[in-house]
Parts: sequence; structure tokens; C-alpha cells
Amino acid sequence: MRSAAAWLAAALVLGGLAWRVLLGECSPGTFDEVSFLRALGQYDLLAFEPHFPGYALSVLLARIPYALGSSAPYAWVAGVLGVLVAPWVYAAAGRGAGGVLACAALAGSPLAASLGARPLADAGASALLVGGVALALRPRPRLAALLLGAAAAAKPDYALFGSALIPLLGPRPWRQAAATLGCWVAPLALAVWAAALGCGGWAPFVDEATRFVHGHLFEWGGTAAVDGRPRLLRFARPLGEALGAQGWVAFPAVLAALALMTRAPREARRAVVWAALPYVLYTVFAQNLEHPRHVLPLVLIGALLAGQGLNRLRAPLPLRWALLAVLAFGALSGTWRQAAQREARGRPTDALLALLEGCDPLGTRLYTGQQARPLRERGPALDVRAARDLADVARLVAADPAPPGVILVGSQVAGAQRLPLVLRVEGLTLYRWDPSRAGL
Amino acid sequence: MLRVRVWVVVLLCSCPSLAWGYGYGREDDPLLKAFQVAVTAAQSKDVAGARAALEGVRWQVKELKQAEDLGVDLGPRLEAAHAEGATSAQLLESWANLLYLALLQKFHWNLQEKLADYHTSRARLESAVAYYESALAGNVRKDDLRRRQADPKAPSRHEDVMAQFSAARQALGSPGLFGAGERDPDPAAFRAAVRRIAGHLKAVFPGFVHPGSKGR
Repeated sequence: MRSAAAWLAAALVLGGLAWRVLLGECSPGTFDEVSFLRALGQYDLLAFEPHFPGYALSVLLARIPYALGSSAPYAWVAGVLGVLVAPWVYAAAGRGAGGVLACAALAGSPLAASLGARPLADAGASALLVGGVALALRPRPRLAALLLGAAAAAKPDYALFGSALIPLLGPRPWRQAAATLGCWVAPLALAVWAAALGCGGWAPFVDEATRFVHGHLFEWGGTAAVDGRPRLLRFARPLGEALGAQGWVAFPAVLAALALMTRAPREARRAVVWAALPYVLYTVFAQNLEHPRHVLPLVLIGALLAGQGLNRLRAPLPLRWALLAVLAFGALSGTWRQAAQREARGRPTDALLALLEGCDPLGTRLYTGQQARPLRERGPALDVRAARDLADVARLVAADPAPPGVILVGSQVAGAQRLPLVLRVEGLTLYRWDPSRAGL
Repeated sequence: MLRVRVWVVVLLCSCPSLAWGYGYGREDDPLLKAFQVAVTAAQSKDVAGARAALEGVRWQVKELKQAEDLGVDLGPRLEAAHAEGATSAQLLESWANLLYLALLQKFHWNLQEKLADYHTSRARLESAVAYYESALAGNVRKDDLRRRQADPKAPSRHEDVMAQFSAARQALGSPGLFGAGERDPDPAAFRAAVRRIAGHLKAVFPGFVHPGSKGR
């Protein structure tokens, strides 16, 4: 049975690789995707290519398939790293049904699958991270430290998972502890050096770091939201999406997964709390909760625990496998649904681009939020500009010596709904600029 | 004590958040800031406001005048546009002219230095793009529309300007990442791209003070 489980896990992980590569996005759909695609040609952090603090390992790895001609290099990186760490994840989740569960989450949970197909660092870095945590659970400290350090070099806020090493360092002689720490620091130090190169030197690096930290704390990071919902609720929403909770089919699966996590051995739960707590606090209080992708590493590490819990369940083997099937079905249904929606409707940016290209491009301007950057990237001659709110639009129009005849405002601009509606189709709402209706 | 901490965490978690988003550094450019203030003032016929904005960027006018720079004295044109009795159109045109010259200045220094430092060259080029989009693109688009009314197949200058900015960006090369993806700068390609941009702008704005022309 264990051999069959290992084969099933391998098939899932290889399926995940194929999914990422076949559905890999070649054009940017969001602000950050522009950054990562541009970084393939130029590593310039001052120009947001990619954005600070650099994601050096992600970009470096993606440049390999890019140089070989791939149009979705980040998808290749996410898929291949997923395959490489899968044996450790399978083993750390207790092999058998538990191992299959952890590998299914790594390969096919909605957030992992959709992010893996996008030009972003999250999926690849998360694969390194869950590999590192899996090794820390076994425990293999130096390799775990190396993978955790590599994950931080691929996505710098994953450095917070370095706390996973604390329980491993304590009981060891200082030489071994120092060697373990060195394995974690080395890739991180290289990433910091790369970031300094990407800023053009240490002085601009410090300036950009200061600007970035200030922005993250006070402009776009933990304070970014268009609505006023409490932060805990906003944290829970992407968690639901991440687990596939997009319909009645997936909801019981989510609850069952959470229950299984509590069945994992005490030392594993303690190790995972050590690993994840700083990142959870950072995500809840300081991260931009509008992006569900920040929850991905927590989902994958949670699946490790759920896998261990599944194997310890006092239930007949067929029942355990039936539970696994329900969980996998719940997660994969979300993945399938996302892919179907993507195929049917495209991304919001695709629809907006098609609409703008159908208008008179010389006489029409669009003010929108973060969508402005991917639209400008894909249609450089289109008149698309970024604005935060209607006051911003009013200021920018007043400061324009030759504004166009038609000015549209997208729903990403705060307060846009006060303006006359021009168009509302699935996922796309546009308004016409009318200063008398802006309420300024 | 533990209860107090739990309450603090719950309160913090429940705090509604504010709205904001990512941003580039365009809003930090002093010339662009002054331009926006001046145009807003000109639209509301506030010459004093525009003049105050001009005083903040005198350094730019002085730079442009230097022989090793563009050697263009825009001072008289700006003074005339900010004098009593000058029209809003004159005022707007003089400011657009200033940003046009600042754009050429960025190209000039990149060519002078043969794109030696990637980051400096890139910063100059991005400033030039920002100046174009803020001050000039609207009228280039309107010129395109006028020409399209006469000849529907007339090529768009604006599209070509944007394409040349992209070509100029490529010509800067790439510093690479630990050696991966490194490309040398190509000053000849950069020169060709910016000459095309300058040519389009000269055609659309014949009334501007250009390098080599005498200010009116």
C-alpha cells in the first residue's frame, strides 16, 4: 500500500508540474507580474524589476528556462522545485495517505496551482520552504537550514520561517549549531548582495530599503485595503480560497483538514508553531492582505501536519483513504473551478485591455489602480494611468495640459462608484469621469 | 497580564485598514511636481501660483543654459509667459517647453556618458518618459488625431515615440544577476531611438525653443 501511495504522490506532483507549465501565464495580469517578467531581462530594483527586496534566487532560477526559450519560466521553476522537494514532504508527512495529502496540497491545491502558473516567486519559494520545514521535522538541520535560507533568498519575507531552526539549534554543540546557522545565512547573504547590485550599490540599496519598509508599513503593506473589514476577517478569506473553499463541496474538506492538523504529534505541532508563528503575525499585521498568495506557505505547512494527523487517525485504512479522497477532491475542485473560470473569462486585465483596444486609443484615457501597470506594459501606447481615488484623478486631470476627450475610471479607484456607470460585465466595471459627480 | 495581551491582539486585529497602493517615484520628481502645480494654476488663471512654481525650478533653467548642457536659454520665454497679460496657453506652452528641454537633457547626458552607468542612465530615461507622458503626450495624441482625420492611415507618432522609448530602454543593456543575463549597453541604438523621439517632438511642437534655435 505504501508503494502505491508513493506512486500516487509522484503522479500528483508530476501532474502539478505539467499543470503549471501547460497553463503558465506568458503575459502579466497584475502589478507584480510585470515586475517579475521584466526582471528576466533587467534586474533593476529601482525600476521595480522585480520589486524590492529582490527575490534574487527566483529570478536567477527563472532565467535558466527563459534562456532556453520558455515563455513561462517561473512556472517551470515552481513545478520543478515542487518535484524536487516532494520526496522530503512525502516522508515528513508520514508517507502513506498522509504523504499523498501533503503532496496533493503541494501540487494541486488551488492557490499553489494558480500561483505556480503565474510569473511570481511565491510557488517556487513555497516549495523550497515546505521542503525546508519537512527536513526540520525529520530532523536534518543543515539541509533544512539550506532550504529555508534558499526560500528566503527566493522570497525574502520567508526569512521569518528561519525561526523553524531555533528548536534544532538549542540542544546541539555550538560548532554544529553555527554550521547550521551558516547554511541558512549563506543563501540569504547572497540574495542581499544581489539586491544591492540590483539597486546600483549599497547607498541606493539602503535608500530603497528605507522607502520600501516605510511604504510597506504605512502605504501599501499592512494598511492596504479598499474596505474597512477587520483584519482577521480579511486574513481568513484568502485562507478559505487557498484551501479550495469555493463551494459546498470544498467546505467540509477544509474543516476536516483543520481537524486533522490537531491530530498530528505534539512535537510536530510545536515545531510548526515555531516555524510559522512569526510569519503569521507578520502576515496578519504587516502584509498586504489583498493578495491571498501570502497564505500559500501556511497552507503547505498545514498540509504537512494534516498528513501526519491523517496517518495517526484511529480509523480503518479504507476510511482514511476515503477521507484523503474527500480532502483531495475538495482542494482539486477549487483548482479546476479556477482554471475553468480563467479559461472562460480570462483575467480582469485581459478583458480591460481588449476593451481599451476597441476604443479610440488616441482619444481615451483610463485611470485605474494597480491594473495600470500591466495594462501599460501590454499596451504601451494606450493612455492608462494610475490613481488611488477620485481626488487623485481630479488632481491629475487638472495638471494635464491636454487631457483627452473621454476619461474612464476603473473600479480599482476608490470612490469610482459615485461616477456615471459606463460598463459592467463580469469582473469589469468602468465609470466616466465627471467632476461634478465626484463629490470633491 | 495575559488577558490584557490577548485583548490588545484582538483590538489590533479588528482595526479597520486604510486605502493605499504601490507607487513609483514620479511624484518625487521636483520638476514634475512644479509642472503639475503650474498647469493647475494656469488652468485657473493663477499666474502668481505658476510663477511660484517656476521659482522652485530655476536651477533647471540655469542648467539648460550652460554650454556643456543643451546651451538653451528658456528664461526669456518663461518670463514672458509669466508676465502680466500673458495668456494661459502661453503659460502652458512655456512649461511644456521646459519639460521638453529637460527630456532632451536626459538624452544628452546619457549620450555624453555613453550609457556608462546602467542605473544612472535608466533613471534619466525613466524621467524622460515621465516628462513626455505628463507634458507632451496629450498634444502628440491630438496631433495624431488631426493627421488621422486628414489621412486615416497616417502612422501614430505617439505609438512610435513609445516604441522608441522601449528601444532606448533595451539599448541600456543589463547589469545581469551574478553574471546571468548580462548585456552591454548599445549607445548607437540609444542614439537612433532618441533621435527619432526628438524628431517627432520637433515636428509636433514647432513653436518650442529647441537646442540650436533662438528663443522668441
